[in-house]
Amino acid sequence: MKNINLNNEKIESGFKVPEGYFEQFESKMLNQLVVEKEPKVISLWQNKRVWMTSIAAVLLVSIALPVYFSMNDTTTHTNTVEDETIETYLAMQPTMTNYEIATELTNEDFASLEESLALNDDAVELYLEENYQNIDLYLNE
Amino acid sequence: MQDEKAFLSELSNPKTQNDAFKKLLELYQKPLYFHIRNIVLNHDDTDDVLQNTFIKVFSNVKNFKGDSKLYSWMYRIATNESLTFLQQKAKKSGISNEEVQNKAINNLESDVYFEGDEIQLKLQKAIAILPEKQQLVFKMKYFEELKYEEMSEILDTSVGALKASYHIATKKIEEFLKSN
Repeated sequence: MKNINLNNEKIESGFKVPEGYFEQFESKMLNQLVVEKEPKVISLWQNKRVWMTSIAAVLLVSIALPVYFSMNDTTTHTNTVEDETIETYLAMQPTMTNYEIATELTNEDFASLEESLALNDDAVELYLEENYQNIDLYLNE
Repeated sequence: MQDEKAFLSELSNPKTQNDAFKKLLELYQKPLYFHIRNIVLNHDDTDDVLQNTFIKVFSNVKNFKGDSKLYSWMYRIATNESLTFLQQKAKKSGISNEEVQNKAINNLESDVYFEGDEIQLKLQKAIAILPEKQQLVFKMKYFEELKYEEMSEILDTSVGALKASYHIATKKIEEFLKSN
């Protein structure tokens, strides 16, 4: 290869760019700049909205949850009380006759009562002797 | 640039900022592109680095105190971005910086945006044997035709040291071209 004196001889770098590259680059950068500047404004607003929504949500939940649970509590509580009240009422009500109680009971109730009481003939006889004077009346039937 | 102080205040004023940035792009995109291209060699990589450079310039110009000239500050950013880019590329592919450069030179032969003949390719190979700083000095002086005073500001090196560095670089390259 021949001697080259770089101080006298200029060799170009040979680097080329695609056509219209700098025009495209300029508009790409300027667009990016606008995009970069705008979200700052939007993001502040968005943050504010996120914060306000979160606070509202927390408030809503903190108010609604105790209300919901206390409502639920009352319902179950009332039910229990109701059952108890009825039982007490039935037990203590002197005007309530056996017949009246019997009208409230269904056939299934009787069946389960019979099962659980396990009546035997001796007990029935004893009961009848103690409670009914005119037992003969029953015997006739 | 005519009045740098006035231009800097235009850059930091939200009302005039956009026009000022446009002016900055028009003035510097070309020289900065070729400055970066001389270091990273490939067009697509240059495009990436040039973008990063301008993004850095835009986002940091408000902190620019005018200790140095605006153009030398921008050239410094472009130089750092290019060198960092090459280091990251080397790290990613697990090879040395020199190997990355040699690979890039080999790729130039098939690069559609490189209109170089044999001598230009050989010149790139010759530059690649120089230490990094000498490469920079040579490229900035020989290809970009910057003044020593400008290079001194950009590279933070005395004019005397730059002249010496350039002299050594040209001798080494001429030697390489003669023997290869």
